[in-house]
Amino acid sequence: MSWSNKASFERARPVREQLTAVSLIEQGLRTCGAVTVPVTGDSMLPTLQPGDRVVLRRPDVTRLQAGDVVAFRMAGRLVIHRIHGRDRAHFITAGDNLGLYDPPVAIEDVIGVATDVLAFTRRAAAPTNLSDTCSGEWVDVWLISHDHPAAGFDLPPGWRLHVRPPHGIGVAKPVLEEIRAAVAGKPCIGVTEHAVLTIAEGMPQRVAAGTQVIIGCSFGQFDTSLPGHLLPPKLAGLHLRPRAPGEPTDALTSLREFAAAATRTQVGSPP
Amino acid sequence: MSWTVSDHVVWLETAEGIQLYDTTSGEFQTLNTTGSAVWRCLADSPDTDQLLGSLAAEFHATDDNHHRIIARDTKQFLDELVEQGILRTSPSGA
Repeated sequence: MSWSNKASFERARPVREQLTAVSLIEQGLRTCGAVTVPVTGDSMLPTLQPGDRVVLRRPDVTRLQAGDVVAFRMAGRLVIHRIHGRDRAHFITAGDNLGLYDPPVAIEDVIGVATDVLAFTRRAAAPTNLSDTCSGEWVDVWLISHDHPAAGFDLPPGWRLHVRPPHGIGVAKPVLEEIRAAVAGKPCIGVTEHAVLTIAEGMPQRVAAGTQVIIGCSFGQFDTSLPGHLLPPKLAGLHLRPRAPGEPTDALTSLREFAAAATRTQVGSPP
Repeated sequence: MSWTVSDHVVWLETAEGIQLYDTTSGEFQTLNTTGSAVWRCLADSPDTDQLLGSLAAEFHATDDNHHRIIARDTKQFLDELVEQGILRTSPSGA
């Protein structure tokens, strides 16, 4: 080895390997008890802005509860999101700016709890564009299911149903492209058991003509060789959950509950 | 004089070199190849004379000029780290 370049360090460049950054943060928490980490994404807006710094402390996981903002390992990265619930082995978490829950977080993957963050508030308001009148004539419901609704089930007036079969972990590529094309430029609601808001909390007062409703397919990114495609989470501007977080609900039941809630809301609101 | 890593700084050696994390400021830094070599020697030999001796051996310093260059660059580098709060100094033997 030769003294070929002056000793220096690269201040502006973050550690390239996320895994290394996570290891350093864990080491820092072990040795110092508290660390400061930079916020890089927008998933926790408006609570945390990119460029903010968050102080993390070692958590007492037995005392963590809904509302706490925690840092946890996920796929080699460190994620800072808010707790919405827990069971014996996992936390249910989501970013304040996201409509879907994260995959369940194992308790041992939580490495820090954030201090000095804003109080827990749930976003109850639906995105404003969902109430705006859209150029389309119908509310289109995309039902991803092998089955059609039973005879006697009626959609609300002005709604029409498109039933497409599931494929593998989601839908086949042509169905994904068909839904993408239908959704382009229109308000879209995804109904899924992984949504942060329940149907009761988030149902807009009026489901405007042109709205696209997707029921029966998971949203997310899943790096796998399994067949089928999940729907991109950003396809829908609003995600709503029929039952308890993560409780599997079949597509037809979800459709019935969503349609019933929409009918109740719109009957009770001014025209 | 000897050099000590500040209590609020943690570090790891990776394939890219030494990675530093200042737990107070939240800054991550990557040392280049030479900086990583200085850091490794410093971890073993925190005293300045020992450190420069280790570096001279590692980089096969063959003459006084080479020794002087290593000493000058190392001091400049370590002074910057002290300025940033990553290292602190103490008199030898302290």
